[in-house]
Amino acid sequence: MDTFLQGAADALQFSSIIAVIGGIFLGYAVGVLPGLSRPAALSVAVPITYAMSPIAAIAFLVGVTKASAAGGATGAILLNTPGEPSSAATTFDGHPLAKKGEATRALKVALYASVFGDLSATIVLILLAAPLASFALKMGPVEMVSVMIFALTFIAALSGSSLTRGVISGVFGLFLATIGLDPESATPRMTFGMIELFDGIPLIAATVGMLAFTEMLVQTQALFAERKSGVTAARFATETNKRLSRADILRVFPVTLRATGIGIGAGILPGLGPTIGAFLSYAINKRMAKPGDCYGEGDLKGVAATEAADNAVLPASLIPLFAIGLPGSVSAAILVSAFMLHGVQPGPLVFEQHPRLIYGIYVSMIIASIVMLIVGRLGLTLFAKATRLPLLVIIPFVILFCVVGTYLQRDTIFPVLAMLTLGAVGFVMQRYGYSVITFLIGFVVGPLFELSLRQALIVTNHSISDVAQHPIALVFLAASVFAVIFFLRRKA
Amino acid sequence: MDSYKSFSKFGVLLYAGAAIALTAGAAFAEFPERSVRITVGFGPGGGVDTITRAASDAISESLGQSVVVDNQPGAGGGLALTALLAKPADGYELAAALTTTVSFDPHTGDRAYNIDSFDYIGAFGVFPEAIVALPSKGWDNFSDIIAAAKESPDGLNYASTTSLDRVIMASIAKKEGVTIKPVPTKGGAEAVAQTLGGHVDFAYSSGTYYAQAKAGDLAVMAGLGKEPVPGFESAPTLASLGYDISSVNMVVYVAPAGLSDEVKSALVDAFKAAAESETVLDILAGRNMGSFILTGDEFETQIRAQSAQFKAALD
Repeated sequence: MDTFLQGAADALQFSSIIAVIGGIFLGYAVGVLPGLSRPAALSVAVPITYAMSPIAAIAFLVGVTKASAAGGATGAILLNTPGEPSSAATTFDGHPLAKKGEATRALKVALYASVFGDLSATIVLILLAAPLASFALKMGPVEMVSVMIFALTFIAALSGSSLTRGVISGVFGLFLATIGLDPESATPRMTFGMIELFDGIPLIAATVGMLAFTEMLVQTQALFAERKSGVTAARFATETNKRLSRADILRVFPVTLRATGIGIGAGILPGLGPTIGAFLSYAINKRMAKPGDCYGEGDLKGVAATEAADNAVLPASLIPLFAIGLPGSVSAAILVSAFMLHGVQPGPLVFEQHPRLIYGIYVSMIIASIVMLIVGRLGLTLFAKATRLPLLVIIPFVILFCVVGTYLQRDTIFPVLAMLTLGAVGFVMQRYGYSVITFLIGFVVGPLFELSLRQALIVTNHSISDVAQHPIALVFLAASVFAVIFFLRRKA
Repeated sequence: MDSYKSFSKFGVLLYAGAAIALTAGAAFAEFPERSVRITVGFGPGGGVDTITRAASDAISESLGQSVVVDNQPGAGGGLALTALLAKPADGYELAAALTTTVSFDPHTGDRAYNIDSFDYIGAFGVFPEAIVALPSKGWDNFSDIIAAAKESPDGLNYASTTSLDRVIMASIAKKEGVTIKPVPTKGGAEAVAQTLGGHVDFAYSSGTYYAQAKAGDLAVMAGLGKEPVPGFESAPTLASLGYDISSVNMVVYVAPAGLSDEVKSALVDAFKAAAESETVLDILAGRNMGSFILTGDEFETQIRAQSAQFKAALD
């Protein structure tokens, strides 16, 4: 108890609180602005933390990651341009809601679902880290392949109007994900001798290009069409209702709870990350829709389904880090370096050696959730006014942020050129009804799927019957078969 | 115009004279006249970045100019080294990478640079690379792994993180006549997790394993370096087991080839001083990388020897 109080006191020090607030502000700004995203923010934020105390440094980075996840919904709802790739699925319902004149209601659901998902996952982290981490270790290559097959079958449901075109763009995404060094032999594949492509097409270039830049091209085209015809259609209906009723909250709550559970699951499994977690949660919740739900046309449930899951991923991805010292996500890996920088080696003994620090981090994570709620609630009123900004102002700014955001991460021009190219590709794809969303899912899942599959083949000596010895894998494979049958019967 | 020319000549003379007068003793202190940039070939927050930023204060103190640290991650440090090729060899542009980025990667093809492309300034710390396994396997050291591989019909598999460990393991497997299959992973954390979960037989790890090994959850089977792994001195090294291959991986600082002697010696001295500073030693100790440093010619001799060794192993 004493160490807990000492840790809490560290977290409540002025410098730590300021670090949390600073992190939340930076994260929120990056989350809200399309084009600027978490990896770019972290590459700026990490060097700043070198001069801070361990607890302040970690609190600052936690603030940045948490708030960028929460802020990502804003652009998705108001501009149809997610601030973070993990909020891409929020556009499905968030933007239609804004068009219907329910922008404020959508923003509120996004914020409350984000904070709920984040806080619940943080509490799970504090209470259940050890047992969940040992479960995560049971997930070997064979299990991971089956989890990804399961995720892909569900996500197929997101292909939009045409299943065939959705699958084609998904496969195109998988194909582009194979560019780069072969994971087994380290032989360059389709790099055409360009060392910039050794690590593949930068993920940030794909997400920013296809989500933000493509949408700006679409909007520009709409603007020109408007100019030509001289007819100006109102982009948004006037907002009449800005309040969330008790009935709304009761309706959305079960979805939020389920989404939080899915987000925690995706966080514990190494590699899945917030983007896949959010898509999976949206797809599962959509499958479980009740009569009267209108997913895809502007349902508050759709917003809650992605945002709660997205925000639950980060605290959950810290579970393997705190319990056994192994980072489960990119953000967690950055926290590892913040630990090491201050002479703390994350590992199974970190709790025995530095209990005060860990308790301090727990307390500051909860503080971060609360600050996020306040900042988000204050910002919301301001952001909702963005619907009144003319496109002529929005488009150039978003494109500027796209360029800066992709440049920042690597300090080279290559990702910017890749972003612009993929943005143009995305524009053409959308024009002919090929979903950029399934493309991105293929692109994001691709490397992990390939690596796990090849690992599984080596570990099982290329024998499929070996899968029978992996009960967890069998459960997921059975669930995938069930999902496909269920999905096809619904369609028919 | 003529008068201007002669004046400017006179000015240069005067300036040079003054410079010589001012710097008698500390020869050619005109380098550096502006800030020096170190481009780190890995992302912010990683080991190479942390060590470089810690060293940059001490380097800047010795040079009397500020040191700017940039990151240009990609291709295991190779992107920053490729970019360095296009920069002038004036000492103002340096890059930080790993020993193997220079000594090993070019042999695997498709790199624009090779061992002759750089001037070698300094190298800090040694990664405590090791082969680790679960204690429940009952293996005492790496020779037990080889014995187990000889008995197993399908051979053994291990979690691999770099192409270098694959080359080393392949050469051992060939010598012993056993099958050892590498399972590629994304890096140390995944390799350690796969081992802890019992999904692979053993793992190669460059440092992530250390905390787990200290806690007794993993056992060190062998070190890959020339010296035993600090803290696990009872474990053998591959060399002590009779294998003719080792890996000494350090954080290296290089400049484009062709630095003038004066500039190079100024940089080497500054890096030597930085390597002995307390901040750098603390960070190296925190990462279990020891206090080993190499600078200048000594560094160049060692990295060239390593490059030749890897080339031979690959042929």
